[in-house]
Parts: sequence; structure tokens; C-alpha cells
Amino acid sequence: MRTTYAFHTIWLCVLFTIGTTFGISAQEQEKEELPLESKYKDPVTRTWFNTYGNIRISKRLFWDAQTHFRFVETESTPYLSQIGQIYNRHAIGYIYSKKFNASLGGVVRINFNTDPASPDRNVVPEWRIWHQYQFALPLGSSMIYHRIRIEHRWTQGFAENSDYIFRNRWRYMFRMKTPLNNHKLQPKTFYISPEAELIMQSGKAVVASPMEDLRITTTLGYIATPRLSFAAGLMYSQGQELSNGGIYKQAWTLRFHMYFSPDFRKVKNKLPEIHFND
Amino acid sequence: MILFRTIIRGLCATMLLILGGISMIQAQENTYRGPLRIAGYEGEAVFQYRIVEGDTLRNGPFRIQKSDLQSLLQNEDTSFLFSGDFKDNTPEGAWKLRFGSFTSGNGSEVVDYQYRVLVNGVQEEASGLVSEGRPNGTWNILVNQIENSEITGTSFKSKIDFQNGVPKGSFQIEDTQSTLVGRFLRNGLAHDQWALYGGGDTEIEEDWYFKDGILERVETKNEGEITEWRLNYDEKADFKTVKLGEGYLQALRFQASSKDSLSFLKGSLPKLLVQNTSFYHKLDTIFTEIGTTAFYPEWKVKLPYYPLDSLEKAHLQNIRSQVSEAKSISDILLNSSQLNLLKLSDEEAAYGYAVVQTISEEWLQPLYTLLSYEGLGVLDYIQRSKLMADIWPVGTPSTTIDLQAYLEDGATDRTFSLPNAEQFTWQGNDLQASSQVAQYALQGLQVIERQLGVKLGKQQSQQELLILEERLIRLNDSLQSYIDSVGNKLPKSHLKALRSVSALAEKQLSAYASVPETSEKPTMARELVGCFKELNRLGRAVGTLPQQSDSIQKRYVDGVWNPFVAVVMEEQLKKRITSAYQKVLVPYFLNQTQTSLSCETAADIQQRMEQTYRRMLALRDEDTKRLERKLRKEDDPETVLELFNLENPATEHE
Repeated sequence: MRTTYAFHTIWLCVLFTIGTTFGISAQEQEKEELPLESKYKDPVTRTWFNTYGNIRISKRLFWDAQTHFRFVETESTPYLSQIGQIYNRHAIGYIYSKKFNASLGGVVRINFNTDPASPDRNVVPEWRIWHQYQFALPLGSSMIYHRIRIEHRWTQGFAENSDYIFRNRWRYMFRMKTPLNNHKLQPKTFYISPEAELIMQSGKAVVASPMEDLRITTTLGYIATPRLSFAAGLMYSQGQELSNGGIYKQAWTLRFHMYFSPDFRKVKNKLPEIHFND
Repeated sequence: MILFRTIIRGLCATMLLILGGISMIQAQENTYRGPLRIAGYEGEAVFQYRIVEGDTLRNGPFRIQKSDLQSLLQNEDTSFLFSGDFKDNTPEGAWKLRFGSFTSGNGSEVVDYQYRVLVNGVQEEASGLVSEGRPNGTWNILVNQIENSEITGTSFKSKIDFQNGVPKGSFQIEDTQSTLVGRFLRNGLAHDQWALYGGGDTEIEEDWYFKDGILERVETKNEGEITEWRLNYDEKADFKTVKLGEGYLQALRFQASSKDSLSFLKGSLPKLLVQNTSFYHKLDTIFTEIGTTAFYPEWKVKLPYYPLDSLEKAHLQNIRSQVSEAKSISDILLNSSQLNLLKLSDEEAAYGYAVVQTISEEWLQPLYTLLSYEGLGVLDYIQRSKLMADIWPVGTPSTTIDLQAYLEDGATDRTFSLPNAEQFTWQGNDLQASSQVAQYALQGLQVIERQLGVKLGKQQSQQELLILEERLIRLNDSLQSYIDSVGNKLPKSHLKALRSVSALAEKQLSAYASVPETSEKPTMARELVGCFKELNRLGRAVGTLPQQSDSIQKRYVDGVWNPFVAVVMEEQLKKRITSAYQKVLVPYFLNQTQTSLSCETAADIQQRMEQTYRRMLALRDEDTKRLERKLRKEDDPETVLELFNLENPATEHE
């Protein structure tokens, strides 16, 4: 038991160390002119289709595999929108206990140029290393979650030969899942999930726009089986533009999620499923 | 030279043998310490013995005793102590025999580091000298009353001198009331006046006058009035010497002229004599077992001698064996609680019982008396006519037994006689007639035993039937009340199945009730009890199906970690298997219970349900991928059962 605890502690230290190493990287400062008052751009509408895979690979380790398809409205596609990003997030997660788990992995995001008038490249990649620490606590029949996610992000513009800029993202999300038609979260249960996430950023390129995004979402979900759930929700978000901290972009996003957690392990390795600390 | 050598060798060998023999004898002198049983007295013994030619010969001090402190403290203790000496396996020298019966008294004391428990009770003590296993010298017998370990009184005392087992000179026997003084001749014959004095008072109460062992007359004095009896011996008879004892006193009864004259035998003198002789009988039993000769003293009296001839002895032998057999039959019948109950309601049983009672009391009882005289060894000293008049005062009984005295008031007067009664033609009063009486009694009892045996057997089977029917009713009630109790909680399909179980039970019961009472009925009832047991089991099995389904449902649940919710969720496993059970098998069993139910199939249906349930519990942890594949779209219950590896018990039996 004591050995396990020590192992967990070392593991967490490693994750933090990686995070902070990237955080102190030098950043290039950009000149900007702030408006006298903050300006809110008109909200855009987006539609996200997200799949979240959580594939058990051992008693404590899992493969976190997420693929998101994000559509952004354009003038020609006001509601249905046009593909904006394809997002591949992967990580190896470690289940410390029912109440805490951590992950470390990488992201490759394909950004599509949604400006039809742009002469630049249509597609550019974006790279990230991310680690995440999630706490889950029961509260009555609900569950509440605190998620800390730290991302080290290399992005570049669509312009030819544009350089990668490096930023760190500091994300905290609070989420709650409350069953609607059941006394607990179990299969055949609808749940409502309000969530709020604040995404802060830092880096040389970030001068006056540390708040990258504030997301407020409400999702209605359905647990079909312990291994498959669906959810859909509406998210309002706002955040400072990188180029000018006085300008706030806004968005309304329809989000559709599919959560799946297959377990391909052999039966004898699965049991007992619930006793993590045995 | 050769001869000389041979002689020397022979002498050496002889010397060696003699020396070896002596050393062997010396080596065989031993002391025994351990348990020993003598004439029913079991205790711890210590004695010296030697082994000669493989025989254990007691030689030297001997002591055996038993006392149990635990038993004394809890309730009471019967103790004994025999001590004396042996010489060549024969009691010799001073001997003492003690018999105690004690309870613990009030209090105890510590004396010289020993606890002394005070006792109450009686101690009998006999002591005297023994020579070659026979009393020799003065023997004293004392019966002391003990209270708090103190002698508070002597209830019996006897002092007799012996010479080689023969009493000599005068003797004295006394109890708390009186003292008997008398004397024997040198040859041990009772002689002269034997006088009984009242306690403390010197006035003579009873006098027996002997002459050379023959009791001639008796005088008793009651409140100053003297009564004299003379004994009426058969003058023609030869007199023979017998030992003084209870047998002699019994024989004396037949020497009196009339019944009145026998009252002297009920006095104190014969009582003291009997008490004394019975003590010596007790000592005799012990000494005879440990020694080699009879201990009983040679005190002698004389009686007229009427020896039994060989024919009479043969008759007596017959009487003994027949009476013994008859007694065992009558004892069994008279003590049979079943017969004692049955005779209250059944006239024939009452009749049989009366016959047994009559034979036992009016026929066997006199024969017991006859045999008791034989046991005392006095038949040779009783005139046959007097003996028979004593045994059969009103003559030997008739072959037609009148039962009036033994039948209940109001019962028809009936008699009993054997079918072959005319073969019994006893006449007169002799041992031959008595032998026939014994034979008739035995045969009569055997006839009655057979008749009652049939009746008791029938009664038994009726009782058995009654018990079986009660069980049937109980089983049916149990089934119905079970259905009533669970009915409301069950799904309709289950209730319908239960009703058909109940209907079958009712139908079987009414079919049984309509069968007339025959010898087959107990068999039917027994079968039906078996059937009802199965129906009860089946009913309960149907009633517990929903619980079993729940248990299966719970057993096929596994906790699965949902990482997105961070909650362990229950997941239903192997749904094809559970679904096959719930949707195919359970309806099939319920249907079978309704359509194929009979006494013969009930057990099979119930067993299949039970086996299936057990199989379902086991399948949870087995690798069932193939089975699950095969179960897809399978809705034939027999195939499903086959896939579950559950054979049809009906086919198994074949």
C-alpha cells in the first residue's frame, strides 16, 4: 500500500515537472493596441461532434482517445457550419482511485482555414502536450468533478512559412452530473450536466489576453450502458483575442458527445473491477 | 566309562531341573492389586497368589473392598469389605465380611489431616474363623444401625459355635424384640428346647421342642395363655436329615394336623431362624465362589421323606418348561399397552385378555408355587396328597374356563376351551395332572396369542392408516396455505401453475376418499403421501421461481467502472443466457406444471427447475461464448436445456 502511494506521488511529480518546464519557455512579444473599452465580437455558432474513448489497458492504466469534429459557421454555411478543426487527443491515463485520475499525452489538431477569402493555406497542424488531473466526488445522487488540464501548445498561422508560437494553457473545469430519472448514475439514466471551464493562457505571444476562453455549458446526457453514453448540450463561450486583449470573441456551440469505454482485457484480468485499492 | 559319563550328565540335568523349578515357583509368588468381582460384589482387591501349573492359587492375605465417597456425598453408597487369609486357594483363619449401606450424615471433621465424613445407615458384619473353607469356631453376625458414625442400636445379632462346619452346643440369635436360645447335638442336629424370650423380659414366649432333629411340639405363650401344637408326622414315613433353612419351615407347613396349627410358623422364632439362615446363605455365596468347599453350616433337622420317583421328576421337568413358556406369553400380553387399550373397545380383545388373566392367575400361579417348593428342595419331604391339596385347594381346574370373574360387568358370560380339550383328561390331584394343566395353559395361551396377534396387527394397520391419512391432510393443508400465503405476490402465470398443483392434490385426495377400505388402502395412502410431498416441493419451487430469477439477475451483474462518470455501474452479463432462462425456460416450467403434471411427473418437473437454477448460478463464471452464440434465436426449451447440459431426468431414468 505504502509502495503504491509512493509510486503515485512520483508519477504526479513527473507530470508537473514536464508541465512547468514547458511553461517557462521564452515567448515572442507582439505589439498590440488596446481599445479604450472591451469590444465583444458577435457570437459565432459552432457545432462540435466529439467522441471520447477510454480504453482500459490494465487495472490502473487506460488509453484516452478523443476525436472531435468541430464545425464553425461561415457566411455560406450559417447553421450547419463548415469543418473548422479535427482534433485528436490521446493520452495514457492512470486511475489512482475512484476519486482521482491523471493523464499525460499529446494532441494533434488539424485546423482548417474557414475564411473563404484567405489566400493562405487551407490546413495547418497544431501540436500539444497535455496533462490532466481530475477529481471526482459524489454529492448526494450527483457527482461533481474538478478538472485541471495543462496544455503546452505549438500553433502556427495559415500564412505560408508562419512560425510556430508556443503557449501554455491553464484550464480548470467544474462539472456536475445529476441523474434525472434515477436515484444514481447508472445505465438507462438521463442526467443533466452543467459545467464551467476557464481557460487561461500564458506565453510570449500572450501579452494582454490571458483569458483565452470561458465556457459555460449545460449538457443533457444518457447513460446507455456502463460502456456507452451520449450527451448533447449548448455552450456559451467568450475569451480575449490573442492579437488584442481588448477584443472578446463569443460563441454558441452545440455539442454532441459520444463516450465509449471498451475493455478488451480477458475476464480473469478484469475482476474485481471495482476494488482499485485491493 | 561311557555309563559313568551318562549318569553324571543325568544327575546334572536333574539338578538343573530341580533348581529351575524352585526358582520358577519362587518367581510366581505374586501380589495382585486391581479390580475383582466376587459373587456380584465388585471392588478393588489386594491378594497374594502363586501360579502352579497355569492355575492361579490364592495364598496369603486377601482383601477386597469397595466404597465410593463421591456416591456417598451425592446420594448413598453401598460399601463392602471382605478380608481374611487363604491357604492353597482355600479360606483359612480369621475372616471378616462387612456390608454397609450409608448416606452422608450431618457435618464432617478434620482429624490428623484427613477429612472424616459422618455417615448414617446400616452395617452388617460377619466375623469368625474358617478352616478349610468352612466355619470353625465362633461366628458372630451383627447388624448395626449407624447414626453420625456412631452405633445407635443392633437390630440383629447371631452367635453360633461351629466345628468344621457343624454347629455345636448352644447358640443365640436375637433382634430388637426377642432372643432365641437353643442347642445342637454334636452331629449338628437340633435338639431339646429352643426358647424365644421377649426383649428384656425373661418370660418365655415361644418354645420349640426338638428330639434328635425332629420338631415334636411347639408351645406359645400369649398374654399368659399357653397354646401347644403337636406336629402330625406320617408315622409310616422314613425321616431324613435336611439342613435348617426356609425350605424346612415350608415343609413343616405340611406336617401340621390342621391349618390353624400352622400359626406357630408365623411367630418370631421362625422369623429369626430365617433371618439367620439367609445371612449364612449370603456368606455361603461368597465363600463358595472364592473357596473350594461349601461354607453353609451343617445345622440339621429331620423330616419325613417322600422321594420323587423318576416319573414325577419328568412331570416336574415338563411343568417347569411349560410354565416358563406360558409365563413369557402371558407377561407379554398382559403388559401390552396396545392390548390394554384395545380391550376397552373390542369385545374379542377383552375376551382374549380375560382368558390370559384367568390362566395366569388361576392356573399358572399355583404351578409357580409348586415350582417354588421344588426350588427350595422340599418336594421330597411333602406328602403328595397334601402338596396337591395345597396347590389346588379346590381341585385341578376344568378344561372349560369360566371367564366371568375377569370380564367387565355387563359383558356376555363366556368360556374358553381348547378345540382339542377332550385330549386332556386329567383326573385327580397329582403331578401328572398338574403337568397336563400346565400343558393346557400353555396351549390356551398360544391360541389366544395368535388370535390377539391378528387383531393387534389389524389394529396396527388401522392406526397406521389413520396416521397416513392425517399426514395426507396435513400435507394438503400445508400446500393450500402456502399457495394462499404467496399467491398475491406472484405473477399470474406462476399463480396459474400453483393452482394446477393444488387442483391435482385436491383431485387425488377426493379420489382416495372414495376408495373403499381394503387392505390396499394403506399402500395407496403411502403412495399418496409420497405424491403430496412432491407436490409440496413443486409448489414451493414454483413459488420461489421469482426469487430465483432475482437471484440469477443479481448473480449476472458485474460492477463496471465508468471512467466518464467515475462511478462503478452495474452491468448485466451474459444476457443471452439470462434471457433464455427468463423467457424460455421459466415459461416452459410453468407450462409443464399446468399441462403435464401428475404424481409421477411432479418430482421430475421440480428437479429440473432446481437443477436449472443451480446450473444458471454456475454458468455465470464459466466460459460461455459458444453457448451464448448457440443460444441466439433459440426458443425451444428442450434444446436450451440441452445446451445448458441439463438432461431430462425422465430420460435419465430410462
